[in-house]
Amino acid sequence: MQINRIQSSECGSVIDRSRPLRFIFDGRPLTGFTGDTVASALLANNIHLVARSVKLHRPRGILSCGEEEPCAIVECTFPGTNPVPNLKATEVPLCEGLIVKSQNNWPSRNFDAFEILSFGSRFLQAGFYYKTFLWPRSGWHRFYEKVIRQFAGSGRIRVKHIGSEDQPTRSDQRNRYCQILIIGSGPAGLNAALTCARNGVRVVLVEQEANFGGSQLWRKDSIGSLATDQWICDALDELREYPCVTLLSRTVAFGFYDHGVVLAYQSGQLHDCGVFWKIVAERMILASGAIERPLVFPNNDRPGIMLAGAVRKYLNLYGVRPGQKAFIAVADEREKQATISDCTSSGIEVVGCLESGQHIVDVKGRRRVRSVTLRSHDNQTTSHLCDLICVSGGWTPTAQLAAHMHDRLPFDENEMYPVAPAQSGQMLATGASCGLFDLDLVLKDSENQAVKAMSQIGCPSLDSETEPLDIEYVPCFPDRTRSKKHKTFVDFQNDVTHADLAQTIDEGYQDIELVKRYTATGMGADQGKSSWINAVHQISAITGKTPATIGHTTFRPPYTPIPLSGLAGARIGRHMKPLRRTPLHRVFEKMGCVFQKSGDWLYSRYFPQCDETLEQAVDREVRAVRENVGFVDMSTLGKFEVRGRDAEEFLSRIYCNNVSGLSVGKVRYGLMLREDGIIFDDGTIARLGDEHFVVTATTANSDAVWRWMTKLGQIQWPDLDVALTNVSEQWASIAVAGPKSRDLLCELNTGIETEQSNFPFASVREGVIQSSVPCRIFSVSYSGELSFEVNVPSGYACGFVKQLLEIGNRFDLTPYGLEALDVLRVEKGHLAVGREIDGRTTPYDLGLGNMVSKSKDFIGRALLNRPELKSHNRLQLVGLSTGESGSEIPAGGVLAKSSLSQLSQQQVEGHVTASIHTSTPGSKESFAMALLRNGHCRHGEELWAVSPVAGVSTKVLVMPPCLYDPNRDRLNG
Amino acid sequence: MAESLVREILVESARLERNGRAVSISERQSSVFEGHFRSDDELNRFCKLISHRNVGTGGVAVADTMLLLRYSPISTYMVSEELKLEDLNSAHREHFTDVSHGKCVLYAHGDAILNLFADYCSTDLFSGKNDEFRMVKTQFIDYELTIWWNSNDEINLLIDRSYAQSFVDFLHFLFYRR
Repeated sequence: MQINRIQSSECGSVIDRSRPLRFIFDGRPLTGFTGDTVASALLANNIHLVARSVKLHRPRGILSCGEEEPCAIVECTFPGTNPVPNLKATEVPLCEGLIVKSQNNWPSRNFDAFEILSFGSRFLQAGFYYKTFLWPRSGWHRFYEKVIRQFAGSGRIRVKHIGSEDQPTRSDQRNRYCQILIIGSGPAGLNAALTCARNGVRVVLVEQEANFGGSQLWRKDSIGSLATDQWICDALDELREYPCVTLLSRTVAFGFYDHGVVLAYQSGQLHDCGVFWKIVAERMILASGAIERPLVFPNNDRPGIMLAGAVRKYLNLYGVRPGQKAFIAVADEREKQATISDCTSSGIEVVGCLESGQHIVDVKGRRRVRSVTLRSHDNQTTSHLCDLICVSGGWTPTAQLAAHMHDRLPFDENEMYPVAPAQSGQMLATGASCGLFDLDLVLKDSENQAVKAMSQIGCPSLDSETEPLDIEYVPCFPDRTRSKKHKTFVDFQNDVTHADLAQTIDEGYQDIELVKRYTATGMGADQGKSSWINAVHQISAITGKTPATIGHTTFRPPYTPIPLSGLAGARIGRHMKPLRRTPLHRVFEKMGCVFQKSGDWLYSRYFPQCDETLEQAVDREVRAVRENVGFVDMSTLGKFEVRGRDAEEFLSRIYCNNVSGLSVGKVRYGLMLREDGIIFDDGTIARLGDEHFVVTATTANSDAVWRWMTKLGQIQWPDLDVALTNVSEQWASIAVAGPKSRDLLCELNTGIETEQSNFPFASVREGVIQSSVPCRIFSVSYSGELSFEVNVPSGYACGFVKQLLEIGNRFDLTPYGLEALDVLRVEKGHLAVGREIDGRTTPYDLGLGNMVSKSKDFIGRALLNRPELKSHNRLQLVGLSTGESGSEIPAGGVLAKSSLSQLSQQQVEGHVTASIHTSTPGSKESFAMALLRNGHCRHGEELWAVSPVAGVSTKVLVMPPCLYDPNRDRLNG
Repeated sequence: MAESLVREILVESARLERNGRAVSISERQSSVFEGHFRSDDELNRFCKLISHRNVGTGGVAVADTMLLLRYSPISTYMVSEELKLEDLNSAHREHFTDVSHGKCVLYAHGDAILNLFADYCSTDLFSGKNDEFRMVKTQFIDYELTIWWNSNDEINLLIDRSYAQSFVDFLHFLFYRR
């Protein structure tokens, strides 16, 4: 039974009484209507005690009717989702089956055992944690922190429902582009939107509430001859007619960034199905209105004390009567009369009003207001029995967004509150957000600002010269009441009182930023919307400074809390990031390949047969390459075509080794340095023609190398005649490796002469498969065996591999994956990005100093010659062997002269970069590549490879990094 | 070799339907040539020669069986279902590289398909004239695309081959969760 619901259909314009909804609050089944918020439905059911405060566990009710709510913080469980803590009851739309739970209490909100904290509150002053628990020193980590964490924090994250991998949430991220973005749909926003739309300007209008119209939805004002609600209806009807207008309700703009980017979050009916909008606009008009300020007086946090505007909103929009007997404490006379009028017409008895010269000295009623006590200037006290106190200390412009890109907001003429400047950068402001509260002035100003914005974006025939407005400022209600007996709260969410602020300032924290951090004023789910300006006024009263001098804290995005699911959008589960498949993916899938994600790529890791383990499969694959022939997918390598008259010169400047001597049909290993002389990437340079090269980059650095090369070509050296084309995806690359690879190549019938004399190591040939499919074959090797990298157009790759397997049957052709490739390359001492090329090593460190040209200039040359980079004391590449001991060399371990038990940080002399079991049949030898201090001169020395993480120490012999075929005999087979 | 090599179809055609809205997506095995010129003047002249009109950056020219997509002052794609690189005039051939296998050409159509793309692309797709062919090289959430269209209900796109299947899967995912 919704006993506080007003039966008259004249009240409750946003609810649909024909569609009741059932929900549960703290285990109690209740009903509301479609269109209700949790707060309006609780009030309709006569529930005022909604939560407990976070620090003192004081009973708290519903203060406001919107995003500024600091008290009614609840946990909501939407059907089929996990509980979401710390939601404002005033913002959560009611839905069927919603389960709402009050927070911060045990065992129940009515009888909270932790309320005992409020009795000891004199000890829980500002800075409590900074001053207490200092002794004994070790006690903090051992005891205090654990206990305090049990009490601290607001709400708990509890996972009850696990969504499917693809659909854990339904939040989305979208973009919208417009010429003018209007934030707020009160009369100012609507009027600005109408002005723009009538001129054909593309407009997006965002409104954080479910209904457009702003505060005029519940104020019973008039515009011209029309009631405001009718004016709003007409304006919306007209706006919907324009195709250039986008209206977004339930959308809060929470951040303003460079280049006209505004981020906004549109709530869905359920918590996890909102839309995160990135709106890019040429101009924004901030018409976000203002937020009502509560008053600061003793016991001002009692349930039943509500903002006057919120009371009117509950009455007029939701048809809910928040009390039976109301006391009115409203600063502005017009607002006061309007509140009295709305209350009485809804059947609420107004028992009294706070008059000039009076102040509130106490409020009785712990869980619900029972009475209010006033004291007049002649020290007479009077009490009024009431269950509702409507308070309003004036209105604070919602100008935070205007401060996201700039330092500080200016204050109004009375220096009482900050206002949005008329224009700052791309953002213009109008209406209450810049201190305009008179409706006629608002309409005039909003039109002026819209015209100004249109003129600035180049709309023709619009005169942006406008007359200055005579602004009338709304008075503030001075807070003069202090009490030593009762608490006077400034920040309800963090239980910050006037006494806390006074003490903070007394301790020397006078700057507003320090006050915020010392007391937590303005932090939390409400981000101080109802408190920070009151805190400024209190500090002003304590210090004697004006509010404008005190200023405000830094406003940062987000303006209001945004669900994390909104930040993720559709990037969830397997769609977290794009997945790249190689051209051979499908054929490998059919072959039972085990894939491995690395970066964006899905690599072929190994090809198990029957019940083979990873180790068995890798051993078999490595043996096949060493003894027969295998093939591996190398398609992920970057491949770039470099053409033009200056192609050779271009490459000569990029690579540290000589390119000029490379003849057509030859391939050379190349090293690319960064400007600081450190190795950037390695790869091959193949010359297909006089002015035509193909270079490769490692998979990991492919994109970076491509960006680097295009930047150099277009920006650094535009005078060079070079055209670059990224053909990484055009060509699939299949490396056929092993002693029988040349024989297999012969069978491919590519039109290329494959004998050793015609096609030696480090050559490239172009051919045609089946008279129509072009191919390029590079005789290069990463495995240390005779090897040919066959490039075919990616679309033919699967077909080519099928045929390769058919032909390769005779040679016992074996596919191998990255695991086997790693074993092969480590045995051969070949480098890998991220292991040996780790962003710190130079060519000298890796034993490649002889590749560095002394006769030409190249990127990185100047800084490579720094003495420090040539020092012998640097980490240098070596090999490590265990001999036949059978021990493993721990991957990632450190090198030291002593074992783990005697290891100290000072003794670390290097680290292992890659470790394998050698492929030699019957051998127990482990081999590793490592970077060792002065390693080139330490071959033959015995060291320990130590892994403190794994708790392993292995004795190793330092040796050259190339274990397999050091004389390169096999490459020329 | 026994069987002749056949170009693989990368993405199976699909039709998505939800709440009375339908979107179809299919692959078009077109030839794609990527061209780089030394200067914008040189590319201007080439565009004029091919299409008999000026094609600025972001412009599309339709000439015979070929579509010219100028995505930067000095770079362009040529897309055709019939043309081969060898068919180009030898003077121009040197500027172009065949990237037909490196790119996947997709064709998506359906009610207001452009709106779907506009929601996720990091470029304003509605800023130009409606009746003209337009192209943009843009980002669709994390996917780099080149898209061109002249109607709200049809869109053509070029995506790197390795991303194509992942992108189509993602499009399905987005379509059914909106």
